[in-house]
Amino acid sequence: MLPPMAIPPTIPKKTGANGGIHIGGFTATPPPVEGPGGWRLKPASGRVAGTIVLGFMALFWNGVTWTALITTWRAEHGLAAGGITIFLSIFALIGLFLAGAFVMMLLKALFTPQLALTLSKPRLTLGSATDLAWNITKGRQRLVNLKISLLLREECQYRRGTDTLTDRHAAHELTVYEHAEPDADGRCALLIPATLPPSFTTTANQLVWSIKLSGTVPGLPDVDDEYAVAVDPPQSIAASLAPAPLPTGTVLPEDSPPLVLTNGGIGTLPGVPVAGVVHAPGKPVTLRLRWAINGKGDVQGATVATTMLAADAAGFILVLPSLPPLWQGTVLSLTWHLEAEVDGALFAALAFAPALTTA
Amino acid sequence: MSTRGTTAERNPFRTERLHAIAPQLDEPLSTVLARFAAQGRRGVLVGPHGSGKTTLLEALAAQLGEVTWLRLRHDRAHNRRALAALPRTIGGVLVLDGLEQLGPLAWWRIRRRAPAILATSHQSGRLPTLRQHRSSPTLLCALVTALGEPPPADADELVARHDGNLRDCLRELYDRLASCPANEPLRQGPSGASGIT
Repeated sequence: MLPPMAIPPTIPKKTGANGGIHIGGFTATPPPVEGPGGWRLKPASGRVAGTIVLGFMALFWNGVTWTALITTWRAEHGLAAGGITIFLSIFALIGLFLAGAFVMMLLKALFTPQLALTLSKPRLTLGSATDLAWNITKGRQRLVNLKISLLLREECQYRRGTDTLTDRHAAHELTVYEHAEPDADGRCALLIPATLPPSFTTTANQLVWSIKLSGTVPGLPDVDDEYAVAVDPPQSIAASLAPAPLPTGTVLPEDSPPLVLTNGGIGTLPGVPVAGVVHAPGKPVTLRLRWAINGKGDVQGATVATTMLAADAAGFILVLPSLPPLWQGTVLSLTWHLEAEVDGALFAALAFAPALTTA
Repeated sequence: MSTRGTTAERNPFRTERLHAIAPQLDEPLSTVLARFAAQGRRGVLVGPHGSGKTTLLEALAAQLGEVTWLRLRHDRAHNRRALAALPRTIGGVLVLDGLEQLGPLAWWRIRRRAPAILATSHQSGRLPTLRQHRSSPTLLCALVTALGEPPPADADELVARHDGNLRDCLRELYDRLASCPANEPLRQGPSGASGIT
């Protein structure tokens, strides 16, 4: 596992009752578009579109508030401004702030260098390299300190009452290119170690990979763009859970736990078969393999495989699937559990992350 | 491990544990239920965001037998779907989280269909008030203690900064532990007890 990056504090985004505007996750980024030479990435929102929207907002806001302010000021005979004038000037100041933000965005849209990114494949795969080509299409001379990195972000939503809160947290950053005086175009290989998790999305929790571009432009807003990319596990593995005969000569001590894995728990790796035994004397056992997400967002989980075992000592064999991945992060954890039920009640359980433990 | 501080699974302020805390009340749950019955099985829990209305609503609903849930949010599309999914005849008690989200017409329709309603709201008015919720630093400390953690040394400041929203306070405490490097001693609270600071 790679060492952790310097982690900034989580930035909660609120919707609903506590005000604020919901800022869409990086999953809203359009998928890569196939073209000559590969798959071209598109940013989540175009700079021009954002500038136009903000421009109209600033124009509308300033038009209304300044007209009202000037009319009121004149009616109240110049400097002898009354309460209404003072009240309106607050809104007029907000208008000036919007106009300033519009100018900054306009400068960024017009003069900030732009890069075109092209992938050799539409989706990345853990443990295998994908080519990334970049081309500075505008303002190459102004761009210094270009950095291209792969960013893994945890995202979780929390819904309670009428509130919906979203948290995002940068969990890993892998730098793939960094240069003080970048070339106008170039190539690099994107390689995500197989020890890191693939992309994973549920209704409330996500692991999102993105390509992050950052660069400095003296005298202008910096380049700071992100492009979401899908990252798949090395191979697609389905979960399995089935009864299995105990190996000949297996003798388990009398004080053996009710649910035990016989090969030391190496099954924390997806695709590796793990054998085990349940001790529930005289009773049939229902075994369930389930995943769960816990942390700062909504708790989620599902059962992916179920099997019935006969009474007395009964062996089983299971395989963890490739998705969801095992993950221990700051705002969310993804774990796999094996649960044994007897007479409809939980009898014993094992958790497969972060290390195999008995619950 | 991907974090410097407490991982999500070990963070005592994780959602799973927050939802498991019993409502912190100054009266037994049975007293609230008796008041609900005395009010003709209609009542609303009133209070600001993050003051424990939904937690109490869930605890009360678990005691009411047959209930029909209606959870409303600051999300019109969600609310439309939730209202459309409501059965035409509502048996038992309609447990409504977020009464203030209903428009007058929708409220009029719901009121006619449900013989008994237990709701939460940010304002009083539509139903008899069953209980008025208020958040306070003391309540925050009680919740943190219920989670098995030492109370925060700056509870007053925390509650004030979040406008009394205890849910947001607990989420800030989550972040503090998440960003606290492992084995780093926590700052001492004013009482000398180790506090989450």
